[in-house]
Formats: sequence, C-alpha cells, structure tokens
Amino acid sequence: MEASGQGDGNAWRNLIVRAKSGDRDALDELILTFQNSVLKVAWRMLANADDARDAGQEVFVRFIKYIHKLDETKNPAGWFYRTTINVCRDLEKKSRRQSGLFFSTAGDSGRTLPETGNPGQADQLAQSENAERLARSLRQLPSRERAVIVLREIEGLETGEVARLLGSSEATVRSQACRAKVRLKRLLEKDL
Amino acid sequence: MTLNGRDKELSLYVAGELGPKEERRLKVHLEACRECRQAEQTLRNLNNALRALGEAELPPPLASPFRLNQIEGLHLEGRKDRAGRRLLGARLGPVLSYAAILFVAAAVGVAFVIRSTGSRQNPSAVASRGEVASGSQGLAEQRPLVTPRRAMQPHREVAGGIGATGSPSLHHNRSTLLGPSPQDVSRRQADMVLRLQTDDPTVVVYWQFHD
Repeated sequence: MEASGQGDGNAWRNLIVRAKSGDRDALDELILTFQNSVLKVAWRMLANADDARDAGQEVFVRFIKYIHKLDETKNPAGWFYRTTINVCRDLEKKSRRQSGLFFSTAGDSGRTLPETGNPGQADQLAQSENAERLARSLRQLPSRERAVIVLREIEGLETGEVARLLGSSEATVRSQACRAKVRLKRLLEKDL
Repeated sequence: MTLNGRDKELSLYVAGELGPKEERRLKVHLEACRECRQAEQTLRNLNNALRALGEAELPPPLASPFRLNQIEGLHLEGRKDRAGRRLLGARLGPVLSYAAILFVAAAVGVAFVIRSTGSRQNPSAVASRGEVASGSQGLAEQRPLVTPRRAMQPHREVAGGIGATGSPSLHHNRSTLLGPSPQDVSRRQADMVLRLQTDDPTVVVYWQFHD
C-alpha cells in the first residue's frame, strides 16, 4: 500500500462511491485491500497481535463511520495509515492510563520460531531472533519516532509522505528517523 | 536524547539524504576512520533489518481475512463504540422500537397512577363513576388502588423471544433493554397487561402494583 495516488484512480473512485451508497461488497473489497497494511502497521506499532487486531478493527469501524467524508478522488491509503497510527496511539494511551505502565513489555513479535535441525534452519532461527529483538526495541521508542520508523523504514513511504501523514515537516521526520535509529542501535546493543 | 553530528550525518548518508558536497566529504572521512565505518555498517544493517521486518508475514491471529460481518460480530460481542452502533443502526431499529413501546407502556402506567390518585382526591368524581360507596365514610374505607407510598414497578417480558431471532444485535441489547429477571411476576399476578404487536415478536408488558 502506498499513500499517494498510485494505482487505478478510477477503481478507487468506483469502489468508494459504491461503498458510500451502501454497497457492502465494495466496502468489503476496500477492507480486504487495506487490511494487510493496516494490520502490519498496527502490529509494528503495538508489537502484539491481539492489540493489533483490536486496532485494525477500530480502524475499519472508523472507516465505515467516516466513509461519507472520504474524498473518492484520492487513494484511501493515506487515510488508512494516518488512522492506524492514531488508533495505535490512542490504544497505548488507554493502556498506559489503565496499567500505569508505558505499555506491556510482554509484547509479541507474532513470529513462530522455526525448529532447528539443519544449518539453513539455524540461520532462520538467528534471523527470527534478531527480528524479535528488533521488534522489542522498536516498541521501546517514543510513539512519534516509532511511527516514523514504521512508515518510512518498514513500510517504505517517502519522507514527504510520512511528514504529510503525521502533520509535520520533512526536516522533522528526518531528524526523528535519525534519532530513532540511534536509539534503536543502543537498545539493540543493550539487548544483546 | 540529543544526536551528535556524526550520528546524524551518517544516518542521512545511509538514507541517501545527504547533499552531494557533504557526501563527498563524508566518504573521504570514512576511508580514514574505522570507527565511523563500523557505525555506518551498523546503520545499514539496521535499515536492512527494518526493511525485512516489513516483509515478514503477519502472525496467524492477523493473517485471516478481516471481513465486514466479522467486524460487526466482534463489535457486538461487547465493544462499546458509537461508530459501530451507527453502522448497525438498521439492525438496532427493531430494538429501538421495543424501547419506544416500553416507554409508551411506562407512560400509560404513570397516567394510570396519576388518574387513580386524582380519583382519591376528588370523591365526587369517583362516586359519580359508581366505583365506591357514596358518603365520606365509604370513601375512607375504600382501599386505594395505589397509595402514594406504593411504587409501581413494571415487569417486562417478551413473548416470541427477542433473543430467539438469532440476531446478535438484538441479543446484545436484550439485557440493557429488558432487565435481567422478568420472571418474578407472572401473567396471572399482573394487574395490567399490555400486549403490543410489532413487526417481529409480540411484546407483552406486565405491570404489578405492590408495596
């Protein structure tokens, strides 16, 4: 999923217009198209599959609620990214209020570790462990920096696009990305 | 956390966001500085690892498709979100109509109580209907239908079963709409029965006047 107007603009337009007029199939198709990206972003932001699913559900409920306000001339990807980040932040705030903690440290990376048995699988295991460490470290970043890393580095969006989605400037996004990476590097070194 | 100049410059360099002049200068420096080369390599590895994270498969709980009806279902299992309620407005329509019916029934009950109380306060009106013996003594001995201290409590039951429609939305709202235990007043014990035919089941409202 990319946030800017790529893909077939007419296809988006038709789907959104149909969904706005109450066509459940169109709504279903839109949800199916964007769910993977929404859930991936939520998973990386929250580092917990159950929380990510809750976030995804909330995003789609908001989508249904606000679809009448959606501009059918634009790819809704940007809306999905922005809403997912906002929903994840809301969930974190809520969880912080309820538990008094920044967030649960028992997040999962959602990976099933492959069983070792041959060198290839051992490499896979090492990679998987590294990915888990990275996901854990990512979770410890402040939410703003985490959002920048998730959107720019993991999802591969352009700096300008990330700035637009997060309502900040490109320079700020670059600076936050630098800071987040240095912080990640230190967290990973500590986690070794 | 503050960034030192080297970290920032290296990070921009790895991301390809450094200006051409600065890039040339940094390349020259990197050839001479082992520590900065190591830092650069670490940043490149980190970028690759982050990119790989983006390519990873979603875990099983997230891998199954998210369908519209699933969202509604999950929503109805207990999430309190107004958006979903609006979304399900069509489904909630019948439930809202039951609420309206109950409201009307309550209004009828209240009117009944007020009328009874008013009758007691106006003996001539009561006597004129021939409901009590004439004279002030007869009126004093007449047991009032409802005394001011007595409460009128509605007991509600739905014949036909709201839950029996199998609709999760109706089931979800049953407890809030109908209350938990309508069994303590039977039809035989009821002082007043209202039967209201709706589109789906018949709603029967039992009223009992008691202390």
